[in-house]
Amino acid sequence: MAATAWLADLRRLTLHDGPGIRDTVFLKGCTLHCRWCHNPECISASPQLLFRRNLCLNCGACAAACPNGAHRIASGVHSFDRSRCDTCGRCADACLAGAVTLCGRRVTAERILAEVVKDRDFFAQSGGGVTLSGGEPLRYPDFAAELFRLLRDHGISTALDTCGNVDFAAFERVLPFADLILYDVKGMDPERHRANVGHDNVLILNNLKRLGGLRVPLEIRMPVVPGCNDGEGEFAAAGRFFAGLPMVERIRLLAYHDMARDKYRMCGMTDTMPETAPPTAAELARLAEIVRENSRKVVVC
Amino acid sequence: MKTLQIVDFEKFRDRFDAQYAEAQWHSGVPAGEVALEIRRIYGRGELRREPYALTKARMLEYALANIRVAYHDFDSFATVCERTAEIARIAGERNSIISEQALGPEEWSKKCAARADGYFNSTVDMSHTSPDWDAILTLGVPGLLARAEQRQRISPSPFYEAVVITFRAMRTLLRRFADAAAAQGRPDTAEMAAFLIDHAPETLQQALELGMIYREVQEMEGEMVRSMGIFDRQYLPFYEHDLACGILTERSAEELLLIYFSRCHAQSQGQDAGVPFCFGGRLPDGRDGCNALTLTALRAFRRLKLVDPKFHIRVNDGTPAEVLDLAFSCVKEGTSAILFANEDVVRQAFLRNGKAPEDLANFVPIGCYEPAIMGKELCCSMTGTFNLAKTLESLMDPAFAPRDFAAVLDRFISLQAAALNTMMDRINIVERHWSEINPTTAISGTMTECMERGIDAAAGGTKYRSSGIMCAGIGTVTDALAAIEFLVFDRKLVTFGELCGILKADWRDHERLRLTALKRAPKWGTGDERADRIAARVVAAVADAIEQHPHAKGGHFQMGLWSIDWCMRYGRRTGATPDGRHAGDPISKNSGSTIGCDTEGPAGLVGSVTKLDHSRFADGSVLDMMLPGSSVAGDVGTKFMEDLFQTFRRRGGAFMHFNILSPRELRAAQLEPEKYRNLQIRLCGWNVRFIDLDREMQDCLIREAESKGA
Repeated sequence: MAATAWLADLRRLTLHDGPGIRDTVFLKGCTLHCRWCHNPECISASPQLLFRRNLCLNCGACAAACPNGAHRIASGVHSFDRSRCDTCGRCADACLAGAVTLCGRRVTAERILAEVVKDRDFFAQSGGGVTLSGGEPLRYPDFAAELFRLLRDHGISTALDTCGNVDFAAFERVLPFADLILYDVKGMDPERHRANVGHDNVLILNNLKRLGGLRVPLEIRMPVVPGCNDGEGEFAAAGRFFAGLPMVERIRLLAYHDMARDKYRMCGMTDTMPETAPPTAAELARLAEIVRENSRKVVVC
Repeated sequence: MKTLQIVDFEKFRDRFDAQYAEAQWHSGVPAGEVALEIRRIYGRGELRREPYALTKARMLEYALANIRVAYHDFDSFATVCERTAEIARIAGERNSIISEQALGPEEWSKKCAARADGYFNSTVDMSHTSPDWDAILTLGVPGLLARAEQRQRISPSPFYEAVVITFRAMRTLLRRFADAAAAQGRPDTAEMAAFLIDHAPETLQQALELGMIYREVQEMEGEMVRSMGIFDRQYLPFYEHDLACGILTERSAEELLLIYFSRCHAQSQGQDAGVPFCFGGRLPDGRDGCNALTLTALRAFRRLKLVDPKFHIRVNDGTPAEVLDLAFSCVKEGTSAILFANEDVVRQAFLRNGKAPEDLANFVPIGCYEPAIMGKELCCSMTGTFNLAKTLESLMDPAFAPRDFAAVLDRFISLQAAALNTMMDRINIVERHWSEINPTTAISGTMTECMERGIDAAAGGTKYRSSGIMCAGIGTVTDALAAIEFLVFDRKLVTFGELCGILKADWRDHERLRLTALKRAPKWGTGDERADRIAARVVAAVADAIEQHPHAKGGHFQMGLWSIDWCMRYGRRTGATPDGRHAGDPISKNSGSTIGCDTEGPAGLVGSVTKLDHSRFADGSVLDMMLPGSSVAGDVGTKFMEDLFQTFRRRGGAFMHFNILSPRELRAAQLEPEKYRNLQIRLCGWNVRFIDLDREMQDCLIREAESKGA
């Protein structure tokens, strides 16, 4: 049987998930739970119903389609009881306004290939390719390995965007077919890391250390989240850590933004991130300089 | 030679822009008096039954000797004049009278009805032309005149006589410009204008001046100049001459070009469709023709930040990266009046129509994006204008009971072909009379073949003769046909007959079915295989019908896949369509999708559009690429636009232009227009200020921008 994964979204022609123009495949299910997560719909590995109230016409098609009475129209206004929802997706099929959608469909690597291959001319023109992201894509090592192998067979460059919090055996499955790894490092202090993302960073840093001496180029991605992980000490320690990893080609600092708040509402999830402003360009530049000084590597932000 | 003294453009920017509006006239009579006298000359010519070409030349002769001219002492050019529109107005009147006579009362009333219904229109297109700029710049006015005089001596004819009168009148105008400059205490500018009376241009300033004067004359004569030629190639020898002689430096040349290009906006104030300049493209030896002047012109354009002029860039594999980088930087900064052309696909289209390989280096996009060979062709790209979506009204006839979708498609194609043939038959009747309606003396006088044959371009004297048919609404048609297949035959949600009734009632009481058509049926512009196959079949059938139709002047009818802003006016007159579109809503624009239906973004649009064979669209085809500002931020964003176009080009797309817009900014501009005076919109083939658009078009753009994301 072909390996499958739960797909959250396939975004075409993205610019910020590796070099060139890329298609980014977002899989559902993560091994971390970051307070600032920008893709909350990718945390759970199960399908989820997304509800966009601003698009709802209150037409009642969802209520008519739902076998469990999860959707109701009362006094002309739609309400949704998630506890009754078994994510069968019938309401999403019925919703012509696009207000109710199902996030999560089971896909094979061949299915993804058939989609992304349409964009291969963009990849070839721009030096881009396909990025596998999430969630944590290495929750699906068989699928990831199969997809990367197929992409390589079709001459399409591959990148893996990972949080690293997986068994190293999962990396070993994809390494033969990966052209680039985008490796997230969310902090160096284990306790602060646990407080921020629900897990310590021991496995993450150990995996990074091993990858750093192998053959696949690495781009480190460090979110800069004010009040959570933006201490100078964190970035100095990170720089020193990266200095010893030959395969780390670049370190990219990613500024926190609060554009995901709507997504929490759409998923019916609690937004765990306190109100905070994005870091300023000057703050980012200062932290980048610290990483640069300590790592002697290319740092971008 | 002396170094050219040029004022600092930025210091005088406002005064340059107000040169026409606040002109201090030096000599001449007001436009009203000029118009009256032109009418008198016209009347006398008609009474004498003189060939109209001669009467028209005499009207122009009078106009150039008497229109008001001005000169401002800060200017480097001496060409401000008060144009008369009277000769063009007479051409319009003659067009109606002669066309009606030619068609006969019954056909004329049918033609008018098809136009009023928003279905199709057939006319003579006097507004999509380019002269032979090489001849103008190498021969100059005296050279063009001498050629005409020689021909007139050898084989006298009203045509040659009219050309002689026209170029003599141009010399009169040059003298008047020179006198105006001298009177304002600028002997240097006076000398420059006077030099052109007896010489071909030698310096860049003279060459640019001559280009401007020619344009004034031709447009007063009643045909729009819709390409200023291949700018970098044509003007390079003058530029190099000036650099070598110390007349100009690279820096002062940029200032001179700023002043020159600013004239376009000063004249139009952003209210016309833009003066087009072509750049780059392959030279006869196959190498790319971009040069130092390309970059200087683009740098000036970037600083100008105006909606007029507009630049057309011919792109091939050899186009220098720095030219593309600069052009896409302009677009990203909101100076988006740039068209990117895939010249290789245009080349294929030209070869299909039997054009000689040695002529292809002189390809210029005319007007917005309509290909022509400069100096050898008037492409007449809007001779026919056809609303593809309107055929859906005839298709949705309850008496028609199709067995399957193939029967629907066949019927649509046959209805479409019948309407196209009717339109082209009418064009053939009317086009035979073009040289009576509006002989094109000035243009013809620049063209070698016209001069050798002694035949006006309007009578078919050019080497190539073509009549373009603008075909609008491919997105709406594809979506509508795909929706019929989906609703009637796949899902069986409604019968064909029921759907006819529902459309007649504009979907009243069938909102759910309408949304099903709109949201669930396959769509053009998403890369959907089914929709794309329908589109390919429809356009191939339309192209066949157009290309195979006999042409009155022994040339070609050719198909264009674009709509300009007629997507609005045609939409207003098109009933509800099966794709979920309400009666009166806009039809799809240019070669793109229905607004809001390009759900797969640029990848889907490029995917669908490049499945068509664009070498069939010898009258041009253009894709509008609207992107949110956030998607093109930074250097990565500039490269993204470039890669988007290059992928489109490599996949066989023809023309592309961009809008970088944010819906929030557009809404703010509606509320506080005075703060957004510089916000440009690439409308359909030219640029306008957003605040100058009517509310309906503004709202339409906001809807479109919203559908692309923040």
